Amino acid sequence: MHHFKILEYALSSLIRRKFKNLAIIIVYTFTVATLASILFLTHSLKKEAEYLLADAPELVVQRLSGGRHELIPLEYGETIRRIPGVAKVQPRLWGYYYDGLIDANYTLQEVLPGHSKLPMLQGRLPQNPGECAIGAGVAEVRRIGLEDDLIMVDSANVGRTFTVTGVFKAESALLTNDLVILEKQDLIDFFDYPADLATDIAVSVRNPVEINTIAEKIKRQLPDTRPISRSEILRTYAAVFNWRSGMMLSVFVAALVAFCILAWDKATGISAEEKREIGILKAIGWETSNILEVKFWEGIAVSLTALLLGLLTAYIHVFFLNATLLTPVIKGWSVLFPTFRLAPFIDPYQILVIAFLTVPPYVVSTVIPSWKAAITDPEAAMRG
Amino acid sequence: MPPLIQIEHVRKIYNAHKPDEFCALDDISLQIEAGEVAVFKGPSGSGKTTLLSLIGCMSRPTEGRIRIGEKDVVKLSERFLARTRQQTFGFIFQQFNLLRDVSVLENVLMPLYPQQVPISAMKNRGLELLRQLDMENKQQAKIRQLSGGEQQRVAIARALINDPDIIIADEPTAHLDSQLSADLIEILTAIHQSGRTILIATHDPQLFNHPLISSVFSMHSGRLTEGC
Amino acid sequence: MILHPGIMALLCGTTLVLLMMLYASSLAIKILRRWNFYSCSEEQLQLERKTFLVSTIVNYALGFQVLSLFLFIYTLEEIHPLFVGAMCATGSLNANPVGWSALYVKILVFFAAALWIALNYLDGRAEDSPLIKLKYSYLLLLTPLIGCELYLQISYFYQLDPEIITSCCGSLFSADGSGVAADLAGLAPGRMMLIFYALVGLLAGLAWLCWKKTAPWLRYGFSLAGAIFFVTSLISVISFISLYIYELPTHHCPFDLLQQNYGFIGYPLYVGLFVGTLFSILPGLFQPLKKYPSLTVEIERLEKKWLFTALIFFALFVLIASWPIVFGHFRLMNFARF
Repeated sequence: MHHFKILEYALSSLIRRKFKNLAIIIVYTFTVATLASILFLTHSLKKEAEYLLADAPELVVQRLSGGRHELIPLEYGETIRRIPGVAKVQPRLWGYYYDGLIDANYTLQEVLPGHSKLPMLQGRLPQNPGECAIGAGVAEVRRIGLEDDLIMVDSANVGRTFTVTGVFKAESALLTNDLVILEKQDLIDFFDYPADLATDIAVSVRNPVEINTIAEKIKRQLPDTRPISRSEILRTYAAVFNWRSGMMLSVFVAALVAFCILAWDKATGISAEEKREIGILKAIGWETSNILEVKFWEGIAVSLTALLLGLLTAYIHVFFLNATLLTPVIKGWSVLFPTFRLAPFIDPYQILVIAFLTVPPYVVSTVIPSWKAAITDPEAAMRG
Repeated sequence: MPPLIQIEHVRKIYNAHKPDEFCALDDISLQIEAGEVAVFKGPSGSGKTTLLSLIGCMSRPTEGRIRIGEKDVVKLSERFLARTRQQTFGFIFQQFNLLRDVSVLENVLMPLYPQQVPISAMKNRGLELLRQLDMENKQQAKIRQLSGGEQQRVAIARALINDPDIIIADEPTAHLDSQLSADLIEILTAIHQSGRTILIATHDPQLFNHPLISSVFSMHSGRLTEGC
Repeated sequence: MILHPGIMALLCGTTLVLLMMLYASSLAIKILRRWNFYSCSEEQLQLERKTFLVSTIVNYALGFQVLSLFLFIYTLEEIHPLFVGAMCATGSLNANPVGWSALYVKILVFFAAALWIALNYLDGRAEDSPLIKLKYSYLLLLTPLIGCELYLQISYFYQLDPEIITSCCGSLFSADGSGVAADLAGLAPGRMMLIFYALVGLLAGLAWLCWKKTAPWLRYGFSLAGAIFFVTSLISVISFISLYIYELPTHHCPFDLLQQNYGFIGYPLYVGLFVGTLFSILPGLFQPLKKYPSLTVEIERLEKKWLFTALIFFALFVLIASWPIVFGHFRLMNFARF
């Protein structure tokens, strides 16, 4: 019962000093929003990567030479096909193309069966030489659409023209944004690939439990290859995102420390009016522990308000404004980045972590000033 | 029956062992019976307020003993001192000491907040007191909207909310004109008739010459000069 | 080292707690040396005021410690996908065995911290604060324990390497394996069930007797039974309770219960057990404090609350544990090893 009344008093006390408390809440909210944005974004990207990689092949086999990625002979695919447990082997042809005009990298890929599953905004996949399908990002930066021409300079420094027969929908942007799909022979001619080589080989495995075993067998039979499993890619993504978010968090520790100093300063600068009020309360019979309880509730109210507002702001920032302030750091090197909509992925663990990262520092900053206020001498009230 | 308030050889020294050491009370001994109305008179700085704050368990003496009823309050920890203050005393301060941006009713109920009193019972008690003091119609008014006399009555209601045995009033007529002072004395008389002990610090002759007063203590420079 | 936000939250939080405890300990030393309750001096008044600061700091710090046990377990669950072979928190702990020590110390700190909070609360109810010396001496032991916990946590997280292939609970808690965990998993479930429910009956009986009579030995008995029940319950979770929740006679893991696909049932289950155990050991542990006259009445009054709270939380634990046994489709008795 009395806790309820003391809580009520604490809230009315906060409202009576609204400007001072508003300043703290705004800065606190900003701090929470920054930390929350980082966590929401990285978590969402991790989940997005997991979701997308669900359809990726279980294994991708690359050939290494001197530690670097090299084209892989097609006959390696035959060797892999003979390994028990392998369901399907698909050599893949693709490469990167640097467009000097707009300083962007495209991924050029041959037409594969999987491409027909991706939603197209307009048109169709290339069926004839001299045709191409492009991602929404390519269409946007080159300002081209259906029936337009895409000119690229091949490995012999000759300009080649491809007619756009299809443009991918923005929803598939994470997979297709920088994609240019060409007919197989066009691709081979463009990069001047030898006929018996592929960029890598995608391997499907019947039993997911056997992936590592098969990867080991591939490695044993073809020692100059590197089989990469899907789960390895996911783990790497997760580790990189964790690392990146951890780095950003470390940087924002500086912001948190600055906030704590502000909180300490505000809490220590107890006004004469507030001191007078506490003196009166002590004089009429309130104990030090009651005043400490008032300060506790004030702290909780401020923390919870800032936490909620910060989470809301972060949610809007990340999922409605696409985390415009954070993406350059988190996402990486590519200039041509998809403006895809992140799907909201939030779980209670994240909220818990954000609370643990922001509330204890605030509590620590204000505990001593709160105590100093609470031990105000009631005798002072007698003297007025 | 032992006296309600017993003070033996009490001294109060501020800033002990420091250059600005100051002895506010020196060897005070006195007794006050239950139901008495005692006045402490003396010039500013004589120690009246200090003595009242010691009796009212606002602070502890440097030396000596203070007994309130059967309890030796000098031996109590801060927490239990506060509890004794809450249960035994009601204070009427010189500056009223009301919370300005809080309503009349909330000011009156403030001493009850830390106690295990149901909210409805709290409100009923508060409204009853305000009714007795003709302040019921102003229960939601903010303190800053009230006159001096009205604030005085709210302060009295707050002092009575815990149903204390002892009322301590520090210069209660300092900010009142003669009419309001007379009103106050009437209220104090009614409080006394309900069986409470009243201690008043004042240098208003209207008060210490009033028939309501049963004992007068004169103080000067921290010592009792009369009435020990 | 894995730069995971949950790990950073844990390490920063524990570091802050340790700093607060060190400061509180420095005040505690001062108070222990100069405390004289019957003195009216200014120094004694300042010390009394400082006791409020110490209480506030330590309550916050230890409150965090209690919550951080859950954050720790939840984080272990969260990071397990980073390790090859890990399917739950067991895998995360196996990735660096220091993790198990960190977990045990965290559980110890949970109880030690909660006990200090209870001791502090009791001391505040007495007029003469008779437990000051005991309380602050205990604080000086608690602080190094928290330091040890921080050290183990840093050690654990710092040396975590996602390249490590770890074993999951299936191999650790398998009856065919070796080691303590395997032995626990191998205990005959039928026998464990008997022991478990017998202890539940004993606890209920002792609680009823404590309610009716004031004999100290009953309280000691109840607290001892509570402590034994805690250990027995953890063994029972591995031995048979988990089997009924997973509906699988070979799945003994005590951590998978905390995952979403089991409805996070592990959390209320363990909350019931831990909180119930805490309140069950208070009556016995605080029995000797009745020698302080200012505490006798208060302890007797609080004992009933502690008993009641312990029973409520134990009931929650037993209810959650028993529900799938009684109402579930799975029948362990059909299997040979029962």
